[in-house]
Amino acid sequence: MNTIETEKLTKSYGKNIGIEDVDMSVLKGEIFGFIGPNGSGKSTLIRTLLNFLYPTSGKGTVLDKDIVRDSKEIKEHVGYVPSEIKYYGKSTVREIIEYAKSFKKDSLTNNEIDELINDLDIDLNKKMDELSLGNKKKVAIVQALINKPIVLILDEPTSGLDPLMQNKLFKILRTMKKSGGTVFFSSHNLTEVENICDRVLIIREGRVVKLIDLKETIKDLGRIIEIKGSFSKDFVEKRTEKIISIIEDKYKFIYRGDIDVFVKDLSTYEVQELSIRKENLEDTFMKYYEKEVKQ
Amino acid sequence: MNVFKFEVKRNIKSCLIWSIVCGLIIAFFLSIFPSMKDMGIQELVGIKLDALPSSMLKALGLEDMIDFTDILQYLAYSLQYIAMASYIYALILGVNSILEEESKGTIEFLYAKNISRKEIVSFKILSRSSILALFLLLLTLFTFVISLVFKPSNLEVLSLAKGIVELFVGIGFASFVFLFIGFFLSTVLRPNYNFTAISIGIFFMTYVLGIAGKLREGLGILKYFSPYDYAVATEIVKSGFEVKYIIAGCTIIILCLIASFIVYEKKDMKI
Repeated sequence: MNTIETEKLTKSYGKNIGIEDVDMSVLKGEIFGFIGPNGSGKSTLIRTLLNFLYPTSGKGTVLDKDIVRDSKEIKEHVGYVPSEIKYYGKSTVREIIEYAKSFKKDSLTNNEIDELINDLDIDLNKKMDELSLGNKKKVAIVQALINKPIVLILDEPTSGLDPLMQNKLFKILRTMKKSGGTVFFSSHNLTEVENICDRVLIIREGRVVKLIDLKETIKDLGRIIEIKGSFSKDFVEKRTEKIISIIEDKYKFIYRGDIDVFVKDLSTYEVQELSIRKENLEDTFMKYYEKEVKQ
Repeated sequence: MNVFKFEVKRNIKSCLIWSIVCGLIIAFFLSIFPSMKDMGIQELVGIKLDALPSSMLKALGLEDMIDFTDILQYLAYSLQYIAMASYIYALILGVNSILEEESKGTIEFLYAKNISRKEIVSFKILSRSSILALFLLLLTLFTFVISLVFKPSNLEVLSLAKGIVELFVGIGFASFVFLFIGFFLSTVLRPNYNFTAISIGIFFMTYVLGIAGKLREGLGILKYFSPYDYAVATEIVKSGFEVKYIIAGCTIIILCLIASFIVYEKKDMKI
């Protein structure tokens, strides 16, 4: 079952395109990552899904409800953490949390909220204006969880959080997944996406570039080889589907074959430099980023 | 009602500050009322005003001689300045209502909650109207209490109260017209404006239109563009309210209200 679904979803601002023809489906109970460079349309997609912005064309559903017509009902079940936290600066954290709680009768109990606040180490008596970026983010996380959402949408949630808090957040997201909830979050931190997501959508200049199933992709990962020696370019081309770079006769390429065979083949040449490491998902992500740039 | 409560709480402080400042101005005016009678100010003012051209007297709203020894007429004259402050405050309340949230980005918090745009507009209108009503109520009570100190012994308390209420009903009516104009502007303007400057600018623009309407016979229609002229205190105290202006004010309120809902319903979040 799809929790979030879009069909040719487009949002433009006059001549500028925010997102264009975005087709995507997020399954119930998965952690779905959504990555792209700055200005690629990540926030626009989230804001269109939440009806902060009206789509120019196309359509979308969240929990089988139309993102425009049924926006209010959708938000009864959705928690949202924005990328930049701009809550009421003169209000205290306690007031913000109470205000967030007041939007739904069936919210967390006071004990559950206290537990969450203690876990994230939040000072309730401080005013929002007095908080650091990371602490504001923590307040945003609490207010998003307070109404027991079944879908959590986060826009670059880890920015400003220290590694300890990032781990706590990931724990919260994994707990939510275990209980059947769906997490949809944008990021440009490839490592965090790799660590926590089931599937990842890559977006660039408002368009979907690639949907990656991380479990499947991990199986196909090869090795990144950097080498300089007396062999010809033909030697490298025969052993790879893609040369990543050639700088001063130093080749960088992906090798997916048997490494023992490669080393034996190489032994007949003079080698000046050699580095072999396992390909990781960051390499895969970068590959799609770069591809798009070249196109 | 949670949004209403939160909004009222956020704006109550500025409301009290405006009330105190305006209250002190009223107290100052009333404190010099006794000297109007004792020092023959009426005769002095009469001589000075007679020397002014009639067009200027019209522009200043002094074409009918004010009896400065009558506490209600004196109050009506003094309250013209309070009325201006009240209209500017009403405009600021209206223009700020949504634009402030958009410029500071706090509107994103509301948009993420299970509340429709219609409800946001409704609660904003309700909360800002309540704040304005509280401001007017505090001023009315304050004016009444201070007036009791300075009222002539032959004037009945009930007549004084009735007169003061009438004056503030007029100011209140025009204030609400400005509030709804401000509210409509809040839904159409972009958040990168200076709201206070806009509010003051709009007030004085309409005020000048009203003056032009008073000075030239053929431009009388311009008075309809000046809510200030819908309820001029010095005219209310002498001849009561004019129905045509009540209709004009109500029409503006209704049109601004409807337009605000329509525009905001289709508006993209701008932060």
